Amino acid sequence: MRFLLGYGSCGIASGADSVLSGLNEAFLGTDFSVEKVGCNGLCFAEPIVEVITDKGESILYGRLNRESAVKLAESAKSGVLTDDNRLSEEELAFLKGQKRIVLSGCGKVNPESIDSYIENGGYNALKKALSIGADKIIEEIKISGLRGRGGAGFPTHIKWQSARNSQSDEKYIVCNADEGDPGAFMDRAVLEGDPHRVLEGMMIAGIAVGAETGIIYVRAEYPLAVKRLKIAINEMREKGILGENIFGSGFNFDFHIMMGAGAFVCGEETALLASLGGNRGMPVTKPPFPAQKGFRKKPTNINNVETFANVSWIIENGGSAFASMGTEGSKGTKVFALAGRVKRGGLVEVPMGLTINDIVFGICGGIKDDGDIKAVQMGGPSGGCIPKNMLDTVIDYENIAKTGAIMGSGGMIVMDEKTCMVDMAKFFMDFTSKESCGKCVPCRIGTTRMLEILQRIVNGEGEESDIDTLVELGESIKTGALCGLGNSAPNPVLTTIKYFKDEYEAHIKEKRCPAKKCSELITYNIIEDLCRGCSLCSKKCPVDAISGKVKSPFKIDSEKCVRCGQCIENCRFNAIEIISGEVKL
Amino acid sequence: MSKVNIFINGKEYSADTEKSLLDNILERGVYLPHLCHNKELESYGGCGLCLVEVEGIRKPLRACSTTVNEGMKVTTSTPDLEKSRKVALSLIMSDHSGDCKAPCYMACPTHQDIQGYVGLIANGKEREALELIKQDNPLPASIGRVCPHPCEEKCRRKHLEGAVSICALKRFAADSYEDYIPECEAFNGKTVAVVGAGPAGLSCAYFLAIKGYKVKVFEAQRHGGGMLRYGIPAYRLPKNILDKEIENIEKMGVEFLYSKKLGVDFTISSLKNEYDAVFLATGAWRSSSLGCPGDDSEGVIGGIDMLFRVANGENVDLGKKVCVVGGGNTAIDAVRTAVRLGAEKVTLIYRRTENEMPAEPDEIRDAKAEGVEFKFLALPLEVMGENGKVTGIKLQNMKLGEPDSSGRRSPVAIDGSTEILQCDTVISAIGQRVAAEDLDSVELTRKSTISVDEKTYMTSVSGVFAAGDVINKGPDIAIRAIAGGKYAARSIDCYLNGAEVPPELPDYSVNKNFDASVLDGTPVINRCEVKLQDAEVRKKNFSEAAFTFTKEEAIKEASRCLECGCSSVYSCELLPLMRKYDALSMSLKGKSRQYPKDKSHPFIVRDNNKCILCAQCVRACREISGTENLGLFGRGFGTVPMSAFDLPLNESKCISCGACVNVCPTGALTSKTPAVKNPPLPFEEERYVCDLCSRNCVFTKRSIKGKTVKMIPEKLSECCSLGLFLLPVRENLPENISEEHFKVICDRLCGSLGKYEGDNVNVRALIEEKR
Amino acid sequence: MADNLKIGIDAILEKYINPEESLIAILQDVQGLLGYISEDAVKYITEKTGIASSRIMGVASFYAGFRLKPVGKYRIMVCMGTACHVNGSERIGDTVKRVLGIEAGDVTDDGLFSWEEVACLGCCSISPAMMINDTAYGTLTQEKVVSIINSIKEEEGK
Repeated sequence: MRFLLGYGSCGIASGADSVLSGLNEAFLGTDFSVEKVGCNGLCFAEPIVEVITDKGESILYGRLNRESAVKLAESAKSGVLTDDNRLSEEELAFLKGQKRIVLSGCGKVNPESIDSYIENGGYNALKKALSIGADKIIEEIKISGLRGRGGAGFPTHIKWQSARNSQSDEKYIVCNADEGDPGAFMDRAVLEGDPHRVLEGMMIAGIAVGAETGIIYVRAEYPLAVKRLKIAINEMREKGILGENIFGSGFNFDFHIMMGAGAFVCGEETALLASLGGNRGMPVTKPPFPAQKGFRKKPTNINNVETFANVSWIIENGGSAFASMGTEGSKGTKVFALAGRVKRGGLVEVPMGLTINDIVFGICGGIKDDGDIKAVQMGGPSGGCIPKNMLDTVIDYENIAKTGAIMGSGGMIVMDEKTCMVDMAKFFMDFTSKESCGKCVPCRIGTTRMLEILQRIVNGEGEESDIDTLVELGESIKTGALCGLGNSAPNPVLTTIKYFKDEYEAHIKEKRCPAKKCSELITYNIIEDLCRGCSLCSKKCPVDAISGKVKSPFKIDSEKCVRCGQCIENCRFNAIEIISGEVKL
Repeated sequence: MSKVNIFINGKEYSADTEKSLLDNILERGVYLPHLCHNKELESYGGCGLCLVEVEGIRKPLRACSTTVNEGMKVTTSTPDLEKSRKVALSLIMSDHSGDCKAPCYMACPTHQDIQGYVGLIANGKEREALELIKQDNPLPASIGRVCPHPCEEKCRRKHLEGAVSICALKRFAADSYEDYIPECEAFNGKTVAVVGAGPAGLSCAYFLAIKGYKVKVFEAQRHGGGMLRYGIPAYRLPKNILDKEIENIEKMGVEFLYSKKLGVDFTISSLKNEYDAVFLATGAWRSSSLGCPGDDSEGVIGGIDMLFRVANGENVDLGKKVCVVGGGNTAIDAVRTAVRLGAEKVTLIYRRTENEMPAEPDEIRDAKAEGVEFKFLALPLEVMGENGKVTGIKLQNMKLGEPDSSGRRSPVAIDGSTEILQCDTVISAIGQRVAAEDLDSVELTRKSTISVDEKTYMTSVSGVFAAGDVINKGPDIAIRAIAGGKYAARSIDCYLNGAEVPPELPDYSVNKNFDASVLDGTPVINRCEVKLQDAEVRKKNFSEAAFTFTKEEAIKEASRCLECGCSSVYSCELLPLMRKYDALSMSLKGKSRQYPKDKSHPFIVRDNNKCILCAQCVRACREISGTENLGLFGRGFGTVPMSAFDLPLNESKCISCGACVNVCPTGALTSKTPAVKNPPLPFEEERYVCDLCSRNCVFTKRSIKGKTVKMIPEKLSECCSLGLFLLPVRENLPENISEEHFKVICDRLCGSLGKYEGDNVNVRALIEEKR
Repeated sequence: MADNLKIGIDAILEKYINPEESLIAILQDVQGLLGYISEDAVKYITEKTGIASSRIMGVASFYAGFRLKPVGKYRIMVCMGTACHVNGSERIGDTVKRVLGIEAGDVTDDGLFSWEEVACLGCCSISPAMMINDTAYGTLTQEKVVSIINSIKEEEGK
């Protein structure tokens, strides 16, 4: 029997360490041992242990703690596995309907063991790639229809061909692992859970374009990913999979890791290159494209983590196998990171062509606390909010773009009626204005001015002309900004204005926040009939805004109240309501 | 270098592949705005103005970072591109915390170049200062004595020890060169009639004369000056000063016809038939009456009437006790005149408190010193009298009420609290009105003033213009009348030439969010107050009470000027674009940069408030100078160019290569000379070949009034710091410069001699030699 | 600057063949050594490598990961990612601020804590989240935040 413990950042943050020590203690003196694997994507149930029985059956246990882990271990020792903490059929529906290529090793292989990767078929694709050669590799990628998974969806084979065509003594393969899109975490999961898959993809790209050096530009905020990449690279060297004359093919390759230092804009190719050169991550205009003049002014091919993670599968299974999945223009699978107000958040990899509803409701079980869905945000700060009535949109690059959002790196933030769309727009604008590199006027000042207008609107100081000004600024920033960050920065505002104009108008004209979220526009109120006078709210209030006599209804002083919500969190009688825009009594 | 053919706006041109699309477009004389491009620097793409559409490419491209290729079809202007430029410029302006013109300039109704003349005075050039003043103000000696100076209200120095004494400095300049007359254009064949020789009429006549018009001024009184003569007592404005200024206008060819009265000797219609244009400036001469019982008694007199009679040399007997009702400058003039006429007890009655008095605080102070009593919070109820002659005034005592929505506290009566002041004369100085009886054919307002267009000063009758106290809102301060005359003259000139009238004040950048803390650390120099004749002496006669600054006082006072207006206002690249694209009309609000100026360097002033982050300075400092002293710091909205650790330039490793000041498109990095002040004034430019060494670098030499202020190299990368700064230093070095300052200058002059090919250089000698 | 710090920086610089290109990595190492990028350290790097201080400061001030002033022994990073925002990260930040009594970016007087708002930590599925030094904490509530901080204080004997 095997015990696979999900040991990614999220698992660890959820308590995987105490589960591990619980299991290890209980297994002391037995033959059982725990294998640490990456995140299998069922983040909602962390910490998770997958038990694989001797018959090869897989049983998932979730939401474990030390105690329940010991119980699981004891039951395993006894030969009859416990039913406690087993994920329900309903929860396991999360895995059905998924097609895992990128995530196929996550939660399966031991990310800190090259042998584990090789046992699962690792580096076969590299061998095959070396035997078929560059042209055939690019041909297969072309047949596969693979497009860049970082956001823009540029056909991968064109990039590779272009870098291949550039004449130079030196070329570089760069993996963009600067996953900065808030709400997307698939790259982290893959790097932490299956690093070799990415490295193998990069090496195949190296063969294709004629590069001998791979550079992974990874966020410093992902220390575990960095650590596992370093282990992986060392093991590859030891195995002779890196260095000179790999597999006797005459092909040389080596890797460098560079840690990003915290700048979202470095996800943009030219900014990333500037950063790699030790500079401020400020984008430059294209052309020249990196494929002509990139790192050290040499031809450089840049793809993101998920794109590289598809490569070995395509080479092994053939481009047409990949192309058999998906839609006309978008082939293969795509990983989505589900978060927000969704019931079962985590990583989902599905063939292109499903609808958003299929994912949110079919796979992820709908909305938390059985709320009503309002919208799904796709594409992060560069994307947009797709409203409820458009959630049957088929997921591919073109159809998502038509909504005003973008596929982006695959973050899907689910929003319910408690989410204020103006506040969301402000949130993203706050993000992009802070992440703007400061080089071009439209982005540097434009995002700041848009943010200030949104701030005034949520503060109840909006003017009727503000919506027009936002649109005017937004459209101009889209045309005038220098790089992709700026070009797409207005999207969250423009899409929310497009689909949720009524919410903007409520804030501006009625000084009311329909989602009851914007703190300047809401007041907390204790409903006298429901309050039992237990005084708990008053004890929990951090600013002493609630007073009253025990056993009679309490009152909130809205002058003092900081709208922290502690009282609501703690009230056992649902006696506290939030009022917005209504007449205060 | 190879050539290709490209199409710019449909026209075929040969283009150079080595150069950017922008340079190709500009070299072919096609207009394309840009603010971050310099052909000696690597392209940047920051400002986003040079966007063009290229056929076959979906998104607009930045011409500065685009290369040309054969057959390329480029469009430089489409509605979308223009829109995008307008938004980009609006955004730039929203974060450009610069004052093109100083706040004093903006506040003065005539928009005089105050910073300019104050600067010239500080540099010891009071004659040049007066010439500058007279470009905008025909009566500086008079107005320099009586103006309530709204300019000083806005002086940024008010945030420190007190406003610069702008008004007194003007008087100083005017008194030092009283014979100056500006040059007038030759007679242009057109004639204009001006009715009224008050400040508005004199001003209009003066400016029309400069423009070559033949002007006739019709004045009802025996002398010119209007309210300046008859409304302002001689102890404030001696008549000979006014006479001299009128005489100067006469010398410019203006003809004065005295004792000619509208409605008696001529009418508007008759003038209209005779002249190409008519200008009416008849003023507002009727005192408002008190409007209480007894206000028609003998011994009740209008303030302006009393002042008129005194000025006209009439014998005026006010008796021993005089009450003046009102809180404005006329009331103060009346009380102080009453004192001088020998009244023993003079009381000013005002219904609010001293804080609310519209009169100038200095005037109130001086009146108090002369023994005037003030009765605040009192309203006349009745003028008491015996046999129709005044014996006293009954007052209702008041208190200030609750503030209204505008924060103003109106006086309200205290029930049953009244008192009586004994007096022989009651002077009503509560305002003046227009006497409209003689105004034929022009439309009047409900206040019986002449209704004129705010922008053109034209009345309802085409070709008839008006300004001063007689129009729209009625009486105002003298400088407002002068401004009216000035702008009406311009409007008349436009009217007679079929041209459109420009706005009085074109769009300028204004630092709306000025944060006074940026002035922290400014050395304290106390305001030099105007010296007055001792109160006990002055109250006995009508001799002038205040003294003109001595030259020493004037220089010291003028040197207090903070030079708020931008030194690049005449060379700025942003300002014309801002106007062309009407970039202030989007009126975007929000946070904006507020940094202290760095004036530490002897030749370079860094004012990051005006920085538009084109990064040309940073690039020049790296690519041309190789110093890498300036770098970009921070990111996003807060990005700012500075030297490492934000060291003041003079303490940084700046080598004074001058590249930054020559690439900056705004006033964020400017050069300065060692003169006390560097007033921004229109300049002249000429080609200059440097002879300091055999390189013979070519410059454009920029000079103001014959003094070199800036050297602009033809090629940034070729000249040395000596070539750039020696001439401006040598020609502007103040006589009394400290040895310490001199040494800094010498050191900095040798900052970057890398390109200098001459012998060892003794900078000190070089400066001294040709001084 | 103390000699041992110079030795430390020397050792860092020795690792990199091309210091200009490796400037970010060098600064990351220096920050690892000092806890932040000090002015002295920048001057010393300039002295040893010839890289202009303006450029080093330009890089150090561009990236959110670099700190130009010291941090607390416990550096609390409150995630401001989208998922965390939707699940109430603002209140988490407010709570940290209230409990520590300092603004984001500041250090408590005892030098124990500093806190800051940071970009997405990638722990979206357990949002709202924060990290204290290298440890991530998820599914936070205001009460949980208080107890986490209090337990650190207890450990430190405060």
